Amino acid sequence: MALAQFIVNGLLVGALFAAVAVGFALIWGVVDIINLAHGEMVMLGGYTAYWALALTTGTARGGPLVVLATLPLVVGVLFAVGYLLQRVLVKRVMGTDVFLTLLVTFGASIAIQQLALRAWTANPRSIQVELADPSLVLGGVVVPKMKLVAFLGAFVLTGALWAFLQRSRTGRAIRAVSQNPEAAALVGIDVEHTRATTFGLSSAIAGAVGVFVATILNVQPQMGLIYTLKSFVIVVFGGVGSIPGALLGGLLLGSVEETVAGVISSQWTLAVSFSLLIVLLIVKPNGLFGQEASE
Amino acid sequence: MSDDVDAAAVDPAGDRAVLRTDGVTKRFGGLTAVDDVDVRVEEGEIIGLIGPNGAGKSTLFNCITGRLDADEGSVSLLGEDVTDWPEYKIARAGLGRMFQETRVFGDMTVRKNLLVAAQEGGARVGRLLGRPDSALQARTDELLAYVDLDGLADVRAGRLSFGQQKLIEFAMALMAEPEVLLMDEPAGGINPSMLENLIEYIRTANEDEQATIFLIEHNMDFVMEIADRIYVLAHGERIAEGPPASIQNDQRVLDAYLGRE
Repeated sequence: MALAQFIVNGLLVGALFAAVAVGFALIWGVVDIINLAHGEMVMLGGYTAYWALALTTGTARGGPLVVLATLPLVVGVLFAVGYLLQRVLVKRVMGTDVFLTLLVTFGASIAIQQLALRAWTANPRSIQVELADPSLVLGGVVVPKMKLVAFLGAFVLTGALWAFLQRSRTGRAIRAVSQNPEAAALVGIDVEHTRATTFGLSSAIAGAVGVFVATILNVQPQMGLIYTLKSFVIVVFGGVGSIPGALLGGLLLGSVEETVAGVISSQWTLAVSFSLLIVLLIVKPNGLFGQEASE
Repeated sequence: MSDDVDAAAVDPAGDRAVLRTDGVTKRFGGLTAVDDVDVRVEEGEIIGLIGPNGAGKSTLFNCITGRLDADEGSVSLLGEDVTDWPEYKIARAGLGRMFQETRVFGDMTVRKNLLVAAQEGGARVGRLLGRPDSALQARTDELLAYVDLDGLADVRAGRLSFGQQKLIEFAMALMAEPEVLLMDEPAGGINPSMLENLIEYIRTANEDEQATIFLIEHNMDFVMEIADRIYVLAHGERIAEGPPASIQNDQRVLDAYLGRE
C-alpha cells in the first residue's frame, strides 16, 4: 500500500514537471535553444495568479473556480513574456555558439529572479484554495484534491498544446520551422514570429503550472532553477523534441523520486534520478522516445 | 541607373515585367559576386539564367528572394519594390523558389508538406482552426496525382528518393500559386528518363498554372529547349541576353564557357 501511495504522489507531482518539461522540449526542438530561464516562467505564473487574487479580492484565497479563473490571465501574461524574451533577447544569439545561448538564457533567469526578489521579497507565498480539505481517499490512497486538480490541469494543458501543434495552422508552421527553417521561410512562414510564438506558448504553459504550484506548495523568487533542471532531465529522458516523451518522462521521474524519497530518503532522489539518466543514455542514447538519428 | 538603356525603355505604362532587377550588385568582401545586373522577366515567360560556375547565378537568386540583401540596386516583384523585404514576405507576395538540393519537411507526410506550402498563401477559409478547407484538399489531391505521388500521400517525405522529393517540392511550389517561380537547377540530379517529364511539368506550370518561370540550369540541351529567353552571367556581370538560338552562337558566351576573356 505504501508503494501505491508513493507512486500516486509521484504521478501527481510528475504531471506538473512533465507539463513544464513539454514547453522546455518544444523550445529546444523548434528554436534549438536550451532555455535556462524556463523555470522562471513557472515562478512568474505563480506570482501573477497570486497578485491577481490578492489585488482584486484583497486576499490570496478563493474557491477553486476563482483560482482557475486566473489561468487565462496567467496564460496571456506569460505568453507575452515568452514571446518578448525570444523576440528581444534570444533572437540576437540565435545560430551563434551554444555556449552563448546558454549564457544569455542563464543571464535572463538570474535577472528575472533578482527582479522578483526586489519586487516581492524572498517570502514564500501561496494561494489558499477553499474546499481543498479534506483530501480524498481512494482505495486507501490519499489524494489531496488540489493535487488532483493540478494533475488533471497539467494533462489538459499538455493535451491542448499537442492538439494545437497537430491541428492548427500555427502548429503546422511551428513544426515546419522545427524541421527546416529555410524551407519554412520559402513557403512564406515568418520564422522569427513562429519561434517567438513557440517561446510564448511554452512559457504560457509553464506559467499555468505555476498557478497550480502556488496552490499546492508555494511560490518564491528562486524556485525556478529546480524546474529548469528537472525539465532538462525529463527531456533528455524522453528524447529531445518529443512531447509524449517529455510527458512520460515527467511521470516516470516523479514516481521514481517519490518512491526513492519514501523508501530510502529524500536526500537520495537527485542521486538516483541522475544515475538512472546516465544508465538510460548508455542503453538508449536518444532517450525513450527520441528519434533515431536520420540516415 | 537612369542612363541604362534597358531600364529607360521599359517602365512607364504597359510594363509587363513581373520581376525585374535594376543594377543589383552584391559583394562578399573584395569579391563582387553580382555586378550591376539588370533582369526583366515578363508575365508568362520561361527565362533561363546560365553561366559558368561562380558566375553569380545563385547569388542573384538569393538577392531576389530576400535571402541576401543586395548592396546596390533594386528588385521589384509585380510592380512593387521588394528590395528590403524579408524572405517570407516576398514569398507571400507571389515568389516561389525551388532549390537544387531539396528542402522538404522530412518528418511530415507528403500531403502535410503541400498543406504547409499553401497555408501562408491563398487558403483563407478555416485559417483560424487550421482546418484545410475542401478546395485546398482537392487541390492537394490534384497536384499529387499530377506529379504521380498520390499513392505516397501519407508517407513521410524524408523517406522518399531525391527525385520524388524534387517532385514534392515542385508540387509545394505550385500549391502556393506563385506568380513567379525561381528554380535552381531543376534538372540537376534528376535521372535522364525523368527529364522529359520535368520539361512537361514546367511547361504545365507555365501554361496551365500561369506561373512565370525563371530558372538556373547547367544542362544546356534542357535550357535551350525550354527557355523563351536566356540571360548569361559571367564573373557576376551580365554578358548576354536573348533567345536560345542567338545565345548558342554568341561569341562572348562561348568565350566565357571556355574561360577566355
